[in-house]
Amino acid sequence: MEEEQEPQKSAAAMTPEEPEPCASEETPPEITLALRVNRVDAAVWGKANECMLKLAEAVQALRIPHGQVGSPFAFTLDLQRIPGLRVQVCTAQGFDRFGLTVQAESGQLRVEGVPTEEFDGAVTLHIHYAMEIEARKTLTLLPDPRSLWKEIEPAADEGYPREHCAVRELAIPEGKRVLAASVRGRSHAHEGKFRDDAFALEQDLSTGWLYLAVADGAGSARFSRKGAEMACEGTIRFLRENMARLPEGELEAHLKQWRTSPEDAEARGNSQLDKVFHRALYDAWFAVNGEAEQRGAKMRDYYTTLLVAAVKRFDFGWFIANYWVGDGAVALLGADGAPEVRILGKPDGGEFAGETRFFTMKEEITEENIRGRLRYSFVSDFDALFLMTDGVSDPFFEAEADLFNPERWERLTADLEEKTRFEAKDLLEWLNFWSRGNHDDRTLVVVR
Amino acid sequence: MRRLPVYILLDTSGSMRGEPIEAVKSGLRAMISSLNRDPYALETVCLSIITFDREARVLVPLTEVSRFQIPEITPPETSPTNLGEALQLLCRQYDQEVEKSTPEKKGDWLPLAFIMTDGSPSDSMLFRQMTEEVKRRKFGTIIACAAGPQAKVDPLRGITSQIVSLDTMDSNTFSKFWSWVSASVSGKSQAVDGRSDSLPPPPSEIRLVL
Repeated sequence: MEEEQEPQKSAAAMTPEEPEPCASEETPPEITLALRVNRVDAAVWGKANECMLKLAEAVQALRIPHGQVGSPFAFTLDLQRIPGLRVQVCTAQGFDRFGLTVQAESGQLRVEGVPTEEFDGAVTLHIHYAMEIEARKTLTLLPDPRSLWKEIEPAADEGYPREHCAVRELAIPEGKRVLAASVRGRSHAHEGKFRDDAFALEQDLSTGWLYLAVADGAGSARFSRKGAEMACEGTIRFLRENMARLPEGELEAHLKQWRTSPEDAEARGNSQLDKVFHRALYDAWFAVNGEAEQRGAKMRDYYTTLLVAAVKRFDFGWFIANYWVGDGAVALLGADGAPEVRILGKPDGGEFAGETRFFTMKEEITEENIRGRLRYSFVSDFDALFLMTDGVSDPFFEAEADLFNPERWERLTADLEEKTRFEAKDLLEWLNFWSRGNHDDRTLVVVR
Repeated sequence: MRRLPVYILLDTSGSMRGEPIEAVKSGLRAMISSLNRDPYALETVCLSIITFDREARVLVPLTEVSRFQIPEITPPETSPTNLGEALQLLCRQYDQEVEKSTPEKKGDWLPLAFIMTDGSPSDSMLFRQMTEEVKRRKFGTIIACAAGPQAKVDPLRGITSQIVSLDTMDSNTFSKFWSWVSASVSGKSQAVDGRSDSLPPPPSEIRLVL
């Protein structure tokens, strides 16, 4: 390699007197980059014009990708495909203001860094070679999406006002605890909408039953928050009433027998539980329907998912009856000490995002559909029972198959353990975790 | 990541040369810059541009809005308006790019398509065939825009019932149209369950064709 015999000017040697493009005297907001390109290889001597054309092409083809404040960013002007050229930076002005550095090494110019400020404007490139090339390129540094989310209070006349978050803790006699928390998602805060998620818990000390429910009101249904709330509270209230009416001792006797043959349809029928659930869900459905009529609205305005569980400890172990329509998840971890996770139902995901089923749909309230969605589990003990809306399940379980992966659940419980120690007071803050593209309301109920 | 795919089909036939195409480009630029300030759009919207004149071309495949750069668009001097071919390309891109839910992967939001033409389809046989193909694919919304006095509304009814028309093709009207498109895309990216079928009301320069 041999340096071409052209008068060399290094950046250090530049003086303002020289009428060269390297000595640009622009005002600060202007970003300029002055480069010097030398031929350093004997092979390209005498081919100045050819190199010139290729260089001009490379400069013309340069499109600076968009950067984002807070995320690593880089672009390069690569001249390595034109052999024998070396790039030197004469001056680079205005880059440091945005946290960017400019480097040249042999045939490549590289600008990189983590942008600190937004920018949308021109970068002027001066290239000194056999002749001067000047090019203006657009540099766009976009804002950090996190900085764009706003917290807006819903309008005073929105109707059905509610708190942006809710948290509850319940100790149950069997030595387990129930934690529940729900937060308004960034998307709703940004639009000044109320939280559409809801949950309800109830412990009936006289019967020993524990009732849990979470619901996610449809984003496009204007009163879905009321639908979600009524679905949770209504179902639990009616379940409690109807369960209390079952003759004491009889259910236990049926369950004992059924436990030995869980697939036995007759034993299931004898337990009366399908009927109790049907009745409770039916009543809750009609309560929502009545509310809609009274308000002059449609059932569609109250669309919501619903995940409910009734839990009781018997002499023979735990019994869990649950119903699940829509997305989200109901999961039992560490059942009978086994490592796998039991998903208690089927998430209703459609072909496309956002396609799901709603409790409030007329066809969901038939006896047959309800029976199909009910699950009954007998376990000696368990580590945790989770009910959650898709605001929590989506970021932790990207695909439906992930729900069945115990490692994913391990990740979730480890994160909860580390950040909240399963204390209700820390659960609200935990629910505000950041996950790109996941800004829905989030609701979690856990028994452990 | 669940994306909201947005397909933009642009007529680049000869009649779009000059002011109309410049107006479309500046409208697109304004739209991108507004979507880039919308946190939902920034995390979900992916845009693709398909142009059609004597042939249909994918100018930009589905690209995140934060990476999207307005391409060069140069209509030829004279050319037919091969909208049928554009719809064919739209279907092909849809089949290749749009992710449906599988047990292993979550699907995209229902795609949106905006089709702008200032004429009527020259390839009418293919066009009729392709309107059927488009109907076989699920879209959140398809909006067709008949721009200027030469644009024919009737053929567009074969694609969608949501048709708007622009009386003039000046930059003011185009800019209003694109900012409405941008508001529609933002709105769709906010409807977290993808079921919202309401679009923001269009400005007075844009007429809804019923």
